[in-house]
Amino acid sequence: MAFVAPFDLVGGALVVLAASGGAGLLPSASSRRATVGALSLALLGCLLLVSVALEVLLGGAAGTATVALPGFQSASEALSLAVVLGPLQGLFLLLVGAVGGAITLASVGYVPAYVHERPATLAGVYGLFVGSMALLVLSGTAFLFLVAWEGMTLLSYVMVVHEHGSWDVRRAGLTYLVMSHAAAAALLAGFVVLYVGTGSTNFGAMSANARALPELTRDAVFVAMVLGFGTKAGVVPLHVWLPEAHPAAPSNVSSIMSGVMIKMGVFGLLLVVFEVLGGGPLWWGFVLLVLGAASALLGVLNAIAQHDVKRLLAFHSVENIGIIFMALGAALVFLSLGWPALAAVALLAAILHTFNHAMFKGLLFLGAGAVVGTTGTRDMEQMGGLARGMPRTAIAFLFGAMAISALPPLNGFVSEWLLFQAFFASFGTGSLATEVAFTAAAGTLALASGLAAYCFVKAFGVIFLARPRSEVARSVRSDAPAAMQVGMVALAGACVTVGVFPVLLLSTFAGTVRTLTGASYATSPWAWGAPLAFPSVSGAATPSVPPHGSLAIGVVALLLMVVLLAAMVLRRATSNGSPSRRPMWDCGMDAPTPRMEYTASGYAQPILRLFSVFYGAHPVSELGDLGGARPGVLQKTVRHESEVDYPLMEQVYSPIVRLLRELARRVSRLQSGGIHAYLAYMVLTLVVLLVASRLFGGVLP
Amino acid sequence: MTSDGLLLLEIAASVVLVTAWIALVHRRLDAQVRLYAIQSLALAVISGLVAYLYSAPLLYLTGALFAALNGALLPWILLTVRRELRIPPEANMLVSVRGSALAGLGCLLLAVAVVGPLTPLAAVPAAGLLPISVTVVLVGLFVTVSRRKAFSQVLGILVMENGVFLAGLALTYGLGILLELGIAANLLVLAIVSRLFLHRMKDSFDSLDADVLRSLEG
Repeated sequence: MAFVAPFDLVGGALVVLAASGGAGLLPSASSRRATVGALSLALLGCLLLVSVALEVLLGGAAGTATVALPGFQSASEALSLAVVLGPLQGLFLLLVGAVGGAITLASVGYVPAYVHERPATLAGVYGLFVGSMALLVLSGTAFLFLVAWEGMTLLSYVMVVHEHGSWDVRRAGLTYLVMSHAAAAALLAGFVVLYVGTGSTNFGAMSANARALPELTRDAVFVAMVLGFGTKAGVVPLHVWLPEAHPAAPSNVSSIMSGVMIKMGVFGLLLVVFEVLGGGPLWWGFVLLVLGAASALLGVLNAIAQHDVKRLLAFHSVENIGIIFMALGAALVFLSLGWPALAAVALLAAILHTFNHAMFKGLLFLGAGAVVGTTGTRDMEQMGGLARGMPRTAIAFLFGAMAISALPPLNGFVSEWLLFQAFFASFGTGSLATEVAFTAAAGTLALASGLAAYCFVKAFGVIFLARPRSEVARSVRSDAPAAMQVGMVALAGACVTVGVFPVLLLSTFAGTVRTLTGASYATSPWAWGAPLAFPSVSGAATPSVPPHGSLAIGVVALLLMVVLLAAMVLRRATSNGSPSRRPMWDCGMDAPTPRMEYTASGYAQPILRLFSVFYGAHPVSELGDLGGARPGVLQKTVRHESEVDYPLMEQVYSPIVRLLRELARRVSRLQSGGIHAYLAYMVLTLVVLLVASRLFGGVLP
Repeated sequence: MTSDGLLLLEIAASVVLVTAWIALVHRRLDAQVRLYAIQSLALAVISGLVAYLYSAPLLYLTGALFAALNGALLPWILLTVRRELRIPPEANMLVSVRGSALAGLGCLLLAVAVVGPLTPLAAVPAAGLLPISVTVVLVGLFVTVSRRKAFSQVLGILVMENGVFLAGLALTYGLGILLELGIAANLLVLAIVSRLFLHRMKDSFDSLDADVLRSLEG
């Protein structure tokens, strides 16, 4: 029973977000007031989006409602506008509104405290950016979708280059812009093919006709969509913009870009490949699976090599997008094999991981933002011991780190566990290729999760623990601004809640999963013990789920919690009184200094060597020899550093860039600058056209 | 409809063609402007003849307007500009006189080859003017390409417009008075803008050679 129709509410939310842009961008007397005003309006917009989403997801507003925007019915059907609000849209509105809202709340603290140049402008563009994402989700026609997509890209570009004083930032922005435009071109091509084939730009009508298209056309659309959405999502090898753009942007922007915006690529795939095209042949799924596995592995391996905390987190976004793509690929494979119930499990994993990654990556980037803003450096080797000065940030970051490492009972565990279940369930489907591929995929996923945990031990330990490694780190006394803490705590709380009660969130996916796979499942979120009982997945007229695929995800989490709790209680009971303080054994040297601490590079070294084939890493060890009778025995100095190359950059992108440069150079010869040359081109064109019309013109006798 | 009228029409059309061709090979700017004026007057006559032959009285007005504007005002503006800016009276040709003459013939051949087959389709005898109009358009274009001076390029565009006007007459008994007025206004603006442009160019580059624009290349 809704008091306000969802469409009015969503319209209101968009107006509020536009007003947020106005508040930040219009000239204002007080920059601070404009900043806070704009961000508050953005927060209000996010809350309205959440209420719309909940109304759609919980209010039983089943089915998909489409509203054609009055006054926007163009004479050409291709350019008409309509908004649509179905279960899928509701889900991603929830993502934008809820996670975006928490990040916006944190921005209220972050932007005035840490952004020194034109904070109001950033706040205004931020509000518009959130609005563009909401509009993208709501798009009912390809035309509106592309407009919102470009708006989202351009607004995020503006935010990425906000601190454009530095060359690195401008370069990162350019990389992002160029890749995004190539991606948008692929999307445009895909949608044009769909439009020509189905005769409509309306997603509903497209969906009705797209399944009857020729196989080749559907393949072409799929490839275009994977290129376009894969670039935005940041999947290997289309991810190169991501580790550049995320560190360059202000941290709240990195947070919402990594947490929410790259998920729009996932949304696009769900919308076009699953909903419009309705799945496809087996190889589609394997394409996504391979891309996802490569992203998961390369993402986490590159993350381990990073010393820049935001770059590290950016590479983890690549890893997690990889996991989501693996799940999407598994869902496609199951769909094409005719196992909708298993596809539903994989799809649940994909969507849940999309939400989970939004939560913990948003949280981690906010934590990194607080740390970077306070210390003024992104280099982890300059940090250390920050847990003392910034305890609340440290705790929040720790929760994020545990969640991204897929430790139970946090949310990251649930989605990865679901995905493992989906992979293991392939045994019994009777497809050998699938069984082999999924076994390999499960191995990759396990490796990636393990390495992620390794990486975050390093990140958390080097940043927050031990003794400060620099003067800046030593002088940190104040924690992040209050609003930022609230935002981080909200996200950390969400990580725990979803980890312990995943059904709370999973129950809202039902409509989407039913629409996309045809399989339905039942949940009872309020029943006691709900986390223990994963809903039985049942699809009509499908083979039953193989029996060994137990889906009781909560059991393990709860057991571990009990064990942990028991250990703590036991420890408390057996220890006697307060801890005692004693001098530390210093190995007979002087008092230990921060220089003796494990460095981030040192910690990453074994993995770098082990996987050196992926890096082209050149670990450099230099020994300053004291000389003497036996060289190499006594060393004065030892220097050790590791440089990590980016083989992909050199081997894949450099040739493309060179080729483009060469082509551009050739084309530029046409641009002589002389007016006679241009006039001559016109004459030549005219003559050629005239002759051609004479030779080929059908109307002439 | 009299055969005398048609004969006059053909003579006037020949004048348009021949003036275009002579303007193409002539070396003196002033002479080219005067040829343009003659061509425009011939077009005005054609306009009047078509008005008479096909009883389209509005074309009298069009013709009168054309004679006043393209036949008198524009040539006067051009000659004044040339004198004011002290543009040397020779046209700097990128293509030799002989080459230009051949190109003019080429334009005629192309036009006849391309548009000739269309002529029987048109219901009116005046449609025979069509190949001539296309030739004039092509010749105008060729003038803009093959002359170094910005002044010649303005002239070339004006010749092109005459060709378009003739095509309009040939196909539709005139383009319609509104369109005609619009084109007339455009041409006037063109003349004024090009005048300003030439002045400005003289100030900036101390030259009216369109090749100096090459230095603006980024």
